[in-house]
Amino acid sequence: MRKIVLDLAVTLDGFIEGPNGEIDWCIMDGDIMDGESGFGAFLNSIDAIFYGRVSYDLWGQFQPDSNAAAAEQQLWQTVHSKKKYVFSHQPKDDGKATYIHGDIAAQVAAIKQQPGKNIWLYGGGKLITTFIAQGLIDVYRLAVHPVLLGEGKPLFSGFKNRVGLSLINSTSHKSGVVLLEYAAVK
Amino acid sequence: MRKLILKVSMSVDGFMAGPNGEMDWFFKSRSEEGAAWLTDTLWQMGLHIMGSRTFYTMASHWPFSKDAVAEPMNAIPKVVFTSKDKLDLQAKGLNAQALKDANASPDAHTWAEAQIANGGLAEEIKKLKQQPGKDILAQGGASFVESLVATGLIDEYRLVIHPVVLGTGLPVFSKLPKPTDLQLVEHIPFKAGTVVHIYRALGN
Repeated sequence: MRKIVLDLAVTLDGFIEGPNGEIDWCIMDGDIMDGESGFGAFLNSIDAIFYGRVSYDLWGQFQPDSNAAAAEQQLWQTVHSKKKYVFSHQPKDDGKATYIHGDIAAQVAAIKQQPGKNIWLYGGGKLITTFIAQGLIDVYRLAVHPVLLGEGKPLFSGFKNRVGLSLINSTSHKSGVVLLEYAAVK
Repeated sequence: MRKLILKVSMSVDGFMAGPNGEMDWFFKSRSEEGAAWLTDTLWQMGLHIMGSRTFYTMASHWPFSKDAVAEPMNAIPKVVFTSKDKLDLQAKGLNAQALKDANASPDAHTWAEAQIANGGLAEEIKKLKQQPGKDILAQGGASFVESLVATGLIDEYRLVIHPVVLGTGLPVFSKLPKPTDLQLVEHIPFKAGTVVHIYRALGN
């Protein structure tokens, strides 16, 4: 069955953004695309993306500048080749994504039953919290960055119960980023 | 100059214990590999600093433990951060005699010889760093660790990340005074699912 995968950059102290939304600490270059656990391999392993409304409006149809490097252009082409779902109470019909509202768990279960590759849970923070609280994430891929911010938007907040994890893999990069891949233990 | 090294086991979301000090999650993913790494790490240290509550708890446990980890825990000198003028092992039922007991480690006397630091935390840490010797280790308790993080004087973090999200608990980094860049020095995954990350703090 298809898996829901959360793939995120996070600071060592657990933030996905600075207090004013800063993501300048995030390392995007270097060998991040390479290798079995790289982002390139990850993009090949998914064929669908789940967005919250704000994330979709910001990034769902983002086009890089025409001056952007070939690698970046390629990355966005690959992202946009995936089937997109937007979780929102305000369904729109832009013809480019399927809008989902109402009983999230049931609809996610139905999508997972369909044949296909894994599904990338893109974000934003609210959607991620909802998925964690409802136990809907199967795999956590956390790119732990070598930085402590002290404050910001936390990845893990707003839910009561523990989440048991099982380490699948752990890889370090020259940049100091450590990718921790965990399966959720249900 | 000596470094101040913080070694803690923590959850993926940065807690060193549950909200009431729960450590069950820690014991669940402990391993021989992890214990061996910890023992090696401890032998690298020249001084062990802690708060008084942790001191008394440790002093009543480590002299009588047969774990491999007990050897360096007993051998390394301690400095206890307290507002008091002296430590009172006797009041905690640990007199000099108990520490000389045949069941006790031959290094048990180091607990009776622990020094006190009762000045301001930052000043005392700076003084200790100036002294000759191997590096300074802090492991806990949770509020002592929070205060140390708040000083900005930690040079190196040795973190054992356990495969669990606690959701709530006693945090390691919540009192960080300013954003801090780190350099990843070492990364060691263990078969039990814990992962060691060692970082040097930059800009100190």
